[in-house]
Amino acid sequence: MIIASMIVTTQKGMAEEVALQLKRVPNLTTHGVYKGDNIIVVMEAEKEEELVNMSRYLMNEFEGILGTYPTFMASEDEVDEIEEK
Amino acid sequence: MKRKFYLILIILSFGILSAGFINNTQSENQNSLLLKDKHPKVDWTIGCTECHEEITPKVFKDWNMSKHGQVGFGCFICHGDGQEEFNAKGKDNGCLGCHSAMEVNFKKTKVKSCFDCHNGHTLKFHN
Amino acid sequence: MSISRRNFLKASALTAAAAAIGVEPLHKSSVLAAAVQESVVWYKSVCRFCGVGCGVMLGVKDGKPFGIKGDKECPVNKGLLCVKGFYLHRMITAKNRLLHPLVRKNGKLEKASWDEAMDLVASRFKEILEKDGPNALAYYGSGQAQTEETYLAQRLFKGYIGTNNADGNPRLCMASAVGGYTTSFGADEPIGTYKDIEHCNLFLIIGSNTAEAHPVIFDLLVQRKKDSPSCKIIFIDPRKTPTNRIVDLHLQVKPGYDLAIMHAIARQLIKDGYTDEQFIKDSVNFSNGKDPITYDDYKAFLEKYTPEYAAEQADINPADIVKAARMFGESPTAMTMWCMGVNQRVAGVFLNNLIHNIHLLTGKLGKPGCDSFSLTGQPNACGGVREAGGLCHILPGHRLVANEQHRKVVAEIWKTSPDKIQPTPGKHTVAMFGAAAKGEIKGMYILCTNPAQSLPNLNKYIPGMKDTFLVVAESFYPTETSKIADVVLPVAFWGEKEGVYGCTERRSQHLAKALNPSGESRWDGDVIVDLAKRMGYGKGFEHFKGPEDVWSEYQKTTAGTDMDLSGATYDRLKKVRGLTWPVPDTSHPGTWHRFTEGDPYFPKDKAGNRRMYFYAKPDGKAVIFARPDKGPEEPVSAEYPVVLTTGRILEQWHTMTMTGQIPELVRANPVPYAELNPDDAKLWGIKNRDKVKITTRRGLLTVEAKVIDRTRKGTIFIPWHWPESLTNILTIDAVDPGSFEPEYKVAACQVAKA
Repeated sequence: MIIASMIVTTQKGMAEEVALQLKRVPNLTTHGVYKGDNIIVVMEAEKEEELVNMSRYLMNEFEGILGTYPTFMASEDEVDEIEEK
Repeated sequence: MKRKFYLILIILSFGILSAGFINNTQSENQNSLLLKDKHPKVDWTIGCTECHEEITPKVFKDWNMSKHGQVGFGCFICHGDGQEEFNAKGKDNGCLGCHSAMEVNFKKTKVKSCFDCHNGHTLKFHN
Repeated sequence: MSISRRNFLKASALTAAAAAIGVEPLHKSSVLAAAVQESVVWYKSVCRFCGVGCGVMLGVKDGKPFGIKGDKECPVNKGLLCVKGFYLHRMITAKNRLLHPLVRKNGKLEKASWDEAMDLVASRFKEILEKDGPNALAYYGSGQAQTEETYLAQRLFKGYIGTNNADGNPRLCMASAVGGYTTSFGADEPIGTYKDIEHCNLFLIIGSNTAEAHPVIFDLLVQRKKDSPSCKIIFIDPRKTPTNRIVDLHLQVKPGYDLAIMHAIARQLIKDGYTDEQFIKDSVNFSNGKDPITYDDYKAFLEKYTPEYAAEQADINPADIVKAARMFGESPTAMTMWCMGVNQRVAGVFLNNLIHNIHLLTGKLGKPGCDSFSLTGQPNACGGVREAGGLCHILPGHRLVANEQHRKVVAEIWKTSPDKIQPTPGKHTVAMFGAAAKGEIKGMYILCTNPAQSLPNLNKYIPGMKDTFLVVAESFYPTETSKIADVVLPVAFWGEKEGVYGCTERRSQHLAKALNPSGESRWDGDVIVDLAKRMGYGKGFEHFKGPEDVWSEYQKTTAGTDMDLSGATYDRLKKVRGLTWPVPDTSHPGTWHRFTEGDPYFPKDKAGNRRMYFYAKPDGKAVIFARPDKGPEEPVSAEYPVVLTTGRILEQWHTMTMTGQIPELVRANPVPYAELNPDDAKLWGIKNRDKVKITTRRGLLTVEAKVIDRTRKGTIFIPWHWPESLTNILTIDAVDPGSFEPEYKVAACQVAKA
């Protein structure tokens, strides 16, 4: 499982609306709007290609998204055991 | 890495023209996507302003009065030296060398270049 | 309590994104740019060119220079660049990079191995040392070399070979400023920093085409005028230049006749009551250069310098002198900035003193918006040469070879005998090349500079250079100097080596190593240590494993001095955007104003109620000098009726080894030229672009005429950049008797249509 975070920037004034729409996207968690038009999102994916597809999907399918900026990526697959909280 | 390869494929397939965001040496690669510009053959022992003050007086005046003209950022910054490299429209990949805070993702906007909003000579916004 | 790896990663992801948001929109790059940026690493560095000290980021991709951007975090330039810095990354891979050692065999320079080249240098130097003594060897360094390189070279030549014939090219540009600061205030370099600019409402610019020579400082002035509409700028300079765009009052003086103006301004300030009498009482002594005098003596001395007298000397309007004095006096803040027009004069030190005089009279020093602020030409003239002992009479840490205690302290740090360091100053630059011409100096090591183009009166010195065993450490080939060398050593260029630069405002900044040296080139420091080892001094140098070791030892020489750099460790310098000394420990933020509250060495006990205490002077008082208004060495005459002055243009740096490789920069001014005043041109029957012959007592040069309203009538201006048109065969090698800096700015010439 790959965990990644991104900043999604939108056109002026559209961040709140876009964030609402993003809530409906599976495997994507929105974490609020910051500094005007920046949405912090965290994604989960099985494969790296899915992350790429996600970026493409966001950029193409959502009115008002100006860009997606990856900020973090890591895989949890190296761990031998997973402790559930 | 597969992911990198994938991303590069996406980039190429969208035919993105914003050639990097700083003055970079990849300009030659990007030029292959554009028609090669050619400056008319002139006396190459003089600088741009020597001719252009006379033959394109408005452009010269606009640039001369602008912040770039005031601090000596000459024609060559956007248009190349004319002889070895010439860009009639002006390249905007150098802008971010000083103005990296102003970068825009042109993919999601109707405008495709810094110069679509900023006049390349007066540097004024939307004028 | 356990936390799943997945949740931990999600938390990390969130933190990373949030941190990114907290930062300036530097990350706001498009997916395209982000993708491209993934494989680009940005390194924090400082521009290779002028003394402003702009922060630049060098981008590297796949081990190659990718691009340049201004460092937005650097308080000096806040992301801005000038056209030269803009193309830095392309100079790293320029076609003229020297990639292999060259050794002269049968009259020709041929490729050689490092071993062969270094063995030759070491053996010849040893031979000369044994036969003719240490003073038959010399080192000529540069204000563009990194501090570690200059420090190592001084250590080898002064501390081990045992000669003080170790000078540098700041002798040709900043020596008069050094002389002015040390005589007026007791210690070198400005009292304030760039921060004063945003608090200043009156700028006096003298002998500086700031718009072209220090473009980013010019930009700070442009911004200041915008922010403060009452801000005014006075300009004293023989030329109208792009700097005039922001000037309110221009005194367009006859070159070489401006000292009287400074005295006249001082006289007017006293008459109009603009002096700070308390400050004068507390912190000022008076001197005529030989003996102390009183304040009244000084006032009597100034009586001669009426506005009318000074105006006649300089051929300007006396009312403008009065106006300038009043503007300076009225404004609660004032900064004077100057450069080569003041320094490159036989009266350079005097003129520096007279600038400090008006600030001392009015107390406009050591407080926000007030300073006599010399603009430094090269990126590391301050840090490397003036601070690390790179001139023939000084040692690291603002010390003097003539001072026994100073020699002792430095020798201990250098792990050498104090007797090895000679007590008498060595030969300054012009004398050094003069001695080479006479055969007294038989071997010379030249680092990062091009004297065969930059020395004045070139024809006098080039033959001697050819006869001397010349070793040139240089990144580019050919240059005028490397062409006539016996050995040319390829050295790493900017971006390929780590080190420190100290700029105009006492700010020491770290330059990252972003790339491996091209071809066979090596770091200059490595080469010097290699030479030291081959000459038998290995024990004293083998502990230096890299630049950080050198810097750490150098820091020790500054501990406890007015230029304390103890707190400027590599660790710290890599993180912050430089530190302004004195910075005595790693928790100290650096110093804004020296000799006053806030300076860690300000002696509150000695100072008492005094606002400033010039602790580098024995009694804590600065000196106002009553200097004679000395004119130029070579005034015009019937035979040579035109004034020749030389200087720079924006797009080119020095001898064009770097900027000459960029077609865009060459386009701005493709051919060598001389600026002619339109009235003169008409009189002489010369049209724009005509070829003209310029003759001085020393040489003849043919260039294109540029007829433009910049110089005064009777004056021409020639930039000195083009190797194919050596302006310096015309210039005079007369030097200031105090600083030994040549008078590049004034000579007498003939002008005729070719």
